[in-house]
Amino acid sequence: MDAAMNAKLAAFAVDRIDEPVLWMDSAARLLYANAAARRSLASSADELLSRTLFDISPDLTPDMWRGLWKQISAQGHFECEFSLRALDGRIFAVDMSVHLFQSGADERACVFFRDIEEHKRLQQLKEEFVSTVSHELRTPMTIIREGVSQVIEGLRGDVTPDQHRALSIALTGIDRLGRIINELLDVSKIDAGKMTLRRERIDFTSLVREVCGTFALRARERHLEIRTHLPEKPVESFVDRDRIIQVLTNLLGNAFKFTETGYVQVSLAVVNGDVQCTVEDTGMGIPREDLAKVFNKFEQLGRVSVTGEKGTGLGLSICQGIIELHHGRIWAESAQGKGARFLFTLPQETARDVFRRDLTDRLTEAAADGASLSAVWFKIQPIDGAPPAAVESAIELLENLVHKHSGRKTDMITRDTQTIFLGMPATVSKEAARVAEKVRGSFADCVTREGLDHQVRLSSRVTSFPEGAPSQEDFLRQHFAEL
Amino acid sequence: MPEPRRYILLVDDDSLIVELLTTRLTAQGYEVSTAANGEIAYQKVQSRKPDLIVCDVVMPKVDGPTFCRRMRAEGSTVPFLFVTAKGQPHDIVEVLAAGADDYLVKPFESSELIARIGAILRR
Repeated sequence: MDAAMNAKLAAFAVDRIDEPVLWMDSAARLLYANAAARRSLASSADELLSRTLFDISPDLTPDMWRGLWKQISAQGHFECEFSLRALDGRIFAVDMSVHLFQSGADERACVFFRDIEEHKRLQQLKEEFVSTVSHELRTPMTIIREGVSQVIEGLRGDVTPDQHRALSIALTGIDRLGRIINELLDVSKIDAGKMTLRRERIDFTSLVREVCGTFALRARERHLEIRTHLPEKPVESFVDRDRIIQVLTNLLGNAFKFTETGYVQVSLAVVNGDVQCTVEDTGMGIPREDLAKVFNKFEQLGRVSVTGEKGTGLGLSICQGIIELHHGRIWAESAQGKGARFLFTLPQETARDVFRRDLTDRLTEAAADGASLSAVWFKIQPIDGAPPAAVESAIELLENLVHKHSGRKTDMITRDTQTIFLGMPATVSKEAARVAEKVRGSFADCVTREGLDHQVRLSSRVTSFPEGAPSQEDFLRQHFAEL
Repeated sequence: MPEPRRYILLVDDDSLIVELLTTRLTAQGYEVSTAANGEIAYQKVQSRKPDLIVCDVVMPKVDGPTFCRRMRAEGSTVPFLFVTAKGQPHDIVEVLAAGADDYLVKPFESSELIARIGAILRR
């Protein structure tokens, strides 16, 4: 076959596939649209070919396009979520995948996109459904729990030991139902990207001891040993305490469930700047081929627990979600019959590290969108001889004021022991300075009223992109220089 | 002289919850009166001031937060303990912002309810 014939065949095929395909040049001019793309954009070939990507995108700016093209040229390929406007005015979200084509100096982009409106709508429907059902179940559960409790406690007359036993079983079932509802809500939140972390500074060694303590009774009853292998010094990081307890409780719970004799051991170490935690047992283990599947939702792998307890198959998937939200990693190691071992690592970070990373992400977005961004830090300095309690209440007060005066959903607020970090996407320096001024003003009033004004001093700094700091590097250097 | 019994106003539109909690609180030695929504509760408070109000969030006519805000606006300092089926951070912020002293998320254990009531009344 000759080259011309080959080209015709390829064009014929591309025009008939279901996925929309576009060709563009570096000036965002549309050079080609296959039939699926024309349908999706409600347009004929002629109408489209006289236009640019700006005409079919509701919020693309020249700055954004320059940023995008830079990325296409540099990486050869990238994917993003994007918004398109058909010629009939319909605006819809798409998953877009862009591939760079190069022939000498000629650079073009091949674009595939997929309409994700329906997918998004279903996703939202699912979230609302789970959330409504879960909340609606809570009231009847409270009623059942309280009714059964009152009979068990003898508040409604004498109870025989046999009746007591039946009602205790009922209560266990109600508590299990409560856990299932919470797990469904957690999974739904993680899926929707709506789980947020409430980070604070914690010491992992005492956290592990605390969680192991809650399993002591269970260990005694089952004649299993709980071992811990912890560093002598505290291992601190800035994480969501309740969520990490949830992960440890889940891993320990699983270890107990699947171990008949021997021990459950929790070890902690700092490896390459990460906190690494290992939960291992001497139980039945997991076959090698199932190891990758254990973190899937509703996966139970047919393992039967020693005590006959049933789980939801959601616990490990939630653990994975929580660890990944912390930028960590979780995995399992095992050989059948030789016990299971679950490990997770979390970056050992300070409040400042966490805020800096979140801020860097937002800066990258702002740079790509041609948008502005401002950040403010407020720092409490104790004046000689101020008691720790004074600093504690001052920072508490300051955090409330920052919440009150910034108060947009996109604002990021991180609290450290003496510093509050505030990140404000899409905010110019004037606006940020106004927020900072309001916080300082209210703070001065409040500390005077509470008699703290001779004990603490407040300093702050506002940095703005791109006004004060034209590049991301400048921004980060300037902002954290005096801290 | 024995201490007078503490008086709790229980506000909830769910009659099953009301019946069970009335039994529970009475067994704990409290005097209990009930109201099915914020409007009825507001009227009851006018004739006798409770030592504590245990209040649901979502109710017909006048809901819990509205009732609480109204009381606070009139300068009342009677302690409010909210009981809510919604445990998300923004739901909790809403009741605290309305003037709640404490809250419990359903399904709760009555031992926790009793403990929290005791703690508030000791303040």
